[in-house]
Amino acid sequence: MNSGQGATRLYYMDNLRALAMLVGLFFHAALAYSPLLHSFWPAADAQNHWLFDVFAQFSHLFRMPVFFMLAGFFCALLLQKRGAKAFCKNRLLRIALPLILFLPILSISMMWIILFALENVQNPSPFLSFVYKMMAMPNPPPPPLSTMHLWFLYHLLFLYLLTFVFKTLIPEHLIKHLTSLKPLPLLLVCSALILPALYVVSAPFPAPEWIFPALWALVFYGVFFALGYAYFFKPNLLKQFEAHLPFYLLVGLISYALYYYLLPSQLLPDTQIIGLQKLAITGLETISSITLTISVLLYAKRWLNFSNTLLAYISKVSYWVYLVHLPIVFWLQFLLMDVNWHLGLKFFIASIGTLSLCLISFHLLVSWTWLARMLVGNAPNKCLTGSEN
Amino acid sequence: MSKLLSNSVMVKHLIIKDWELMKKSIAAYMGAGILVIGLMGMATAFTFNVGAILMITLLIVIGARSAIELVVNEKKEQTLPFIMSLPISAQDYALAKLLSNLAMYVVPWLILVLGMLAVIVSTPIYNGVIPLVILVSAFILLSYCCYLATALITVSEGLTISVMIVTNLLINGFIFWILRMPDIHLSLEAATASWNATSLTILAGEIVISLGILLFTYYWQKRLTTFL
Repeated sequence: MNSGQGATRLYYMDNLRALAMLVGLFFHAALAYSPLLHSFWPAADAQNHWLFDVFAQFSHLFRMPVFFMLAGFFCALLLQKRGAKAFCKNRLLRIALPLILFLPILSISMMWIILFALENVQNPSPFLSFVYKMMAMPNPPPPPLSTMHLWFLYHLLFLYLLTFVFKTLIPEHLIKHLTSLKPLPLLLVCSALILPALYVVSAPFPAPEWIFPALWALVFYGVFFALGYAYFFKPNLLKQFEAHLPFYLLVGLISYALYYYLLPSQLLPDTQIIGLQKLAITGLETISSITLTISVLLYAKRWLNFSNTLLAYISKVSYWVYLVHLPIVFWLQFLLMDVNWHLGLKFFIASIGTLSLCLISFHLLVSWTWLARMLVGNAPNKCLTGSEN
Repeated sequence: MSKLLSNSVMVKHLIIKDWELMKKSIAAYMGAGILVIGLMGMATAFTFNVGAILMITLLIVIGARSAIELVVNEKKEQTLPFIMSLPISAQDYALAKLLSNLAMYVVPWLILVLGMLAVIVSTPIYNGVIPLVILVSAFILLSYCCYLATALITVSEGLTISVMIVTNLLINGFIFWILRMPDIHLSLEAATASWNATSLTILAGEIVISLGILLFTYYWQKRLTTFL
């Protein structure tokens, strides 16, 4: 077995994770001002602007795929460095336990925040109005079971199981063949797997936050996870894209522009795209998602492979911020819904306010407790290789 | 029991050996299990029915393969002479076989049944079907205990396969039998799972018979003094 890239610290991996986490926070903050998601986002503001959609939908195509690629890379690193037994113990402690601990807490907080909004918001969003109507019914149906934004951890656990499945079942020669593919055949294989997975869900692809593993999500994110896993052992698999990196970035940007152009102005059941247009939009979604994700990783390798105190700090707190940011974003967005300020200012307050509250809560509630060890793991200055979240 | 556990290191090694032998199959079952739960989780009538049929098939296949591979084939493929050369008694060997088979069946069985129940609870599917699902799953477990016991006691491929065929044929009969009971079929479309005297008696019967078969097998094996 190849020894992989575990010998030296790969700063760009930590830095990329920190930045992707920040983008996630801004992404959720932007959705309140998105015309596309106006009917769905619980804290959708009366004011919205298409620029928020341009940013949100753009980052949506590669942000979570990047996380899964990093997760695949660190899965390979951890397996190679510590073996299967320690890997299982580590993942149970750092992925399964936070999921079990935080899901009930976050679900209760989210319910409390929605109830707060129902009582206090004067200009409710379409989603809040819908909840009002449901609650006015004599026997209101219970809210659907959801893993919320922790779907990432939940699906990651299934991908770890599938890693064992594929490692055991796929013959060595096939793995060798797949990991030595040239860029174009590799892109074609990835697209052939991703396109059907994305075709069965609406565009833009939703968050698979239901209580069951979503097969489409396991395939879609599984491809990126597998790319990250393979990249650890065979760096050349993605390095070969470096020679024409601007080209792949351009392909990603053009396909995103066309994809955005084809998206309906609002996501409603009767505006769902079908037929050839759906195929075209899914094709563009697939191409842009793959090329942008690979480009982001390789540009990070080129420009972010250095030690930086601020990025190291953000990387350290990123798991906590990821876990708790969503209820805080919602709460701030609900508070801002009745305020007649410019939506840029509202977005700024929602995003920076959330980040500040997350950081303050980390230092007040977490940094001095055992939770910090579980969420932060090896601090960057104590470990040779990338942290293993 | 304390006597049987006296050679726990060798028992553990034999269980690990069985795990290594079954690793590929377990990986395949795990992949199929994720697919089945994902299909059922799509919450349409079609995918739920397809998922339920695949689930029952998977539960039967897992049991059948582990009993044949780990017990019957061990004798057929002349692995037993090697085992006999190890510092292990016939009782330790029998205990290792019983434990490894149970672990390799009961764990996936439990995961798949819990997954299926979670699908029912969290989807618009009537919760009234929960007793039926549990009774059928417990019957599949009972069938497994029957042919595992046959395999362990007789080490005969023919007899084990015969018991397998009979018990698997009985699954259909069992489903029709309990569906004809008013206490079962009248509550299928209820919003909540309704456990009544009939369903509880059947479940208790299944549990008692399964445990009885396993205990009988355990005590039968305890009497063994030689491998042959």
